[in-house]
Amino acid sequence: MTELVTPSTAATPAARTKAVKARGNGAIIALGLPLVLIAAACLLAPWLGLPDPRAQDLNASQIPPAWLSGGDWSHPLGTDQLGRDVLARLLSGGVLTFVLAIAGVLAGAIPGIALGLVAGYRRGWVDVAVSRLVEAQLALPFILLAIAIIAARGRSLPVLVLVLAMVGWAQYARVIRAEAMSLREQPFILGLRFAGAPTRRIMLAHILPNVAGTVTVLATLQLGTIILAESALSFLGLGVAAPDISWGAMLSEGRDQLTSAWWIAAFPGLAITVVVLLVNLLGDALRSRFDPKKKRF
Amino acid sequence: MLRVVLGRTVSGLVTLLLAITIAFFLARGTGSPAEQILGDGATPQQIADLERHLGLDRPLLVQYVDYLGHLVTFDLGDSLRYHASNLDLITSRMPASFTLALVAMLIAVVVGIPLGILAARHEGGLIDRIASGGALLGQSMPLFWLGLMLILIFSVELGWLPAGQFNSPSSVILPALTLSTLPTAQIARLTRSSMGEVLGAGFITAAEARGIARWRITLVHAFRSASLPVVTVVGLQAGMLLSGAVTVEYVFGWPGLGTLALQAVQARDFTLVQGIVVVGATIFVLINLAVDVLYGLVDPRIREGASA
Amino acid sequence: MNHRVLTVEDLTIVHPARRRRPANTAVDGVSVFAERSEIVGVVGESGSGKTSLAMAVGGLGRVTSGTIDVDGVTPGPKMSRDERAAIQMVFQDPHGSFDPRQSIGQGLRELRKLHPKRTDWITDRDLLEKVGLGEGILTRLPHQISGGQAQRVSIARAILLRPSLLLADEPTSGLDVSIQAQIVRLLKQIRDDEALTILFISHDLAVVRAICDRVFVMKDGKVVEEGPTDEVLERPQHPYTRKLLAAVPGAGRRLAGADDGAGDDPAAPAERRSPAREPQPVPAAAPRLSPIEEAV
Repeated sequence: MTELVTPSTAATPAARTKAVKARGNGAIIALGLPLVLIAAACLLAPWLGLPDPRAQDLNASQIPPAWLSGGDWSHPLGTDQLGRDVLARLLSGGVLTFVLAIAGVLAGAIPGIALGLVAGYRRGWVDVAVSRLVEAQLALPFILLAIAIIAARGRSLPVLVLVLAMVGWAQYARVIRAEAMSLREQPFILGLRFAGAPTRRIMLAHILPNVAGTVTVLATLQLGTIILAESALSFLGLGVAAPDISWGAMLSEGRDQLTSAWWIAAFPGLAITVVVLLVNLLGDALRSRFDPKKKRF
Repeated sequence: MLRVVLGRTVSGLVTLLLAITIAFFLARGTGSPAEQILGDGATPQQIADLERHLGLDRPLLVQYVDYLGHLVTFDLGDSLRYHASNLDLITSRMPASFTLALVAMLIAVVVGIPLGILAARHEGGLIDRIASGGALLGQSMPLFWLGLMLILIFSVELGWLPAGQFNSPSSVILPALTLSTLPTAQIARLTRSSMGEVLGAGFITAAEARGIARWRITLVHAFRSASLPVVTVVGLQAGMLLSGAVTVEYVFGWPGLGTLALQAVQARDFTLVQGIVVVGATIFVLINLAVDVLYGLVDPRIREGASA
Repeated sequence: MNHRVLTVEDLTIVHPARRRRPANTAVDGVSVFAERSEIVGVVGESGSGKTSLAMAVGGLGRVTSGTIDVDGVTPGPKMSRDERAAIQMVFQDPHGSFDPRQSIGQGLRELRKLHPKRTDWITDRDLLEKVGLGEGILTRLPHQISGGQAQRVSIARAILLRPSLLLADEPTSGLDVSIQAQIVRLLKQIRDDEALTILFISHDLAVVRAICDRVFVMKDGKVVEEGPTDEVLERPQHPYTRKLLAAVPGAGRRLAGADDGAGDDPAAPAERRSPAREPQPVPAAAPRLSPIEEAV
């Protein structure tokens, strides 16, 4: 039986989808690239010929940014009250900020996804327990738990990562659980059970890959939230402590010197805003790409 | 209806209990609060003494039950640092926090709803785009940084507004403005989307066909339909305000619960911290419960008790 | 006497009450059976309990009371992997039957890894040939093949495991009529080649008439009528069966026996057709065949 396929009618819908996809991919690259560049700049900072971020020079205390009067291009963004170069600290702090953000995302995503998978696929008492836990977590502002934990365990990077994990895990659990629940009713899953495939194989090889798209979008959006959370905690003195540098910690120092050296607070905050903005836009773009039916916003 | 309320209350209590339990065990589980309090130079003997003094050497479960028992009688214990009742300390700071939250909420509603309506009416237009962009920006910016910048511009440079302390009516402006950014964005966004749905609905077009003035339609008919989700969000945001409040209070030196909590953490006053966590969690759960009930009252479907 | 592959006796399935839903007796004292190389139909509308029955027979559904026996094995959660392979299922949604991320070839490979000995009787190519497909389909992804092709692959995957019993849950309902005919033909062929027993579940009487040797009619969890397909569909005793038939295109056949009032009582137990019966009055006009039957 021959089919008559005219090139124009056949090509147009497919070509249209391709164009939409290409535009989506373009947006993702356009947003991802600056982020990668910023991260790279932070990582390569030691080799960029800038002053040591921890080097103090009390003679060069509180110099304004280079383009203002009193400024100096050897310290493009000025110095703080201990004479440390702000740009160098900014780039150096960026590394820890990114590292903590990624660690926080992973520390939340891995248990969250695991719990969501088991709860959604196995159901039963595990599901009830996990759902209750998720509700409890989502019902509380994370700052309360953060304060409770840090008050008791003290301040350190591992505790910080633990607290950051608490920010996001519940979201993963909830979303993955819902997807797992709907997938398990699909015929192909039933077919695998008929074939005698063990539960673990089904969950890892068939359910997990099919929620990968959702996970990626969620993780990207979470990244922004976690960067903001870490900055807030470090700002409050609950997170990164001297001599470590993160953007939030810099803001804490900047607060004390707001009236005399405003640039110490301005630039880290700007950096956070720009990065989180890019990450949020990237997350939106990924969401449109993976599921164009979902509305943006 | 009553059954639904009861159900939600029980659920809320369970959540609260779970939260308190988690906070309790996370705080006391491993690692020693006594060690934290005494600092690095403490001898094991000193730590043991303090633990005994605080009742931390008892089995964890016993401590837990004991704590719950105290909670039921509203006894939050005494502050280690101030040697005063935790409950008193907390209640003395609540007015400041509530004022801040209330004003921030007010700003959010007064600015957010009209913004959302305008954006919905001129979908895709300039206002819409600015509002969307602003909302996105607001969600990407660290709240406390905004506060710092506002202080810089309006207090330091321009000298218009005071930078904190709860001593004059005008001192609440900057903190409240800062705190209101996220709720405003959320409310505007939600108003816009629910108004957008309603504006396209059939009965609106019918009203237009009958010749009712456009602005009237927008205000009266559309808004009434769209107000339900907005009410929900307003209620939920009130809870979320408590979260941003801590950093904002810190930035502006606002004498509220947030700064109290921070001081407590820094002083290793863990009974006070625990008390604040419990109170905070309770307030949160209560607000959520109130929103649920309110929602149920307004939405007739829920009022009937969902269909079997 | 042919060997009975499937025996279901007095099966009852009660789904317990959930939050918004009272308890539901999906299957109520049902007995069905199938002999080797038979294609037995279970007919009913949605809610009749046929899917619950199928899942229970397949070992993946709940059983409240009664017995099921498939070739000496009782299906249930404790089945071994090999026992599970003996009962396979083909589903209604052709595309939903595949992991969207796996190519057809990868899917077959996975089955072979699960049952290395059981599946080495045939190569992928020969297997696909049995269902009328070419090797090229191995590299395709599920969304790249048509519904008819997908259903053929589903059947291939099922028979790869050499089952004694094949459950077919509305396998043609999601397909075009002309494709339906092809699938029906294919199933019959497979049945002949592999001596396979098929339990064919459907609400579509036209398809059932085209493929099933015997049929059980279910309504509200009970079997209301059973017997050889021709007899049940030409001389339905139960009013429900008649109602079902009336809805079928091509039911222009006069329902002989409809006038004599026999079997009007819905509470009457299902009748067992005796082989000897009176000859039928011959319908005046030649009966119209449903499109399926024309094609087959």
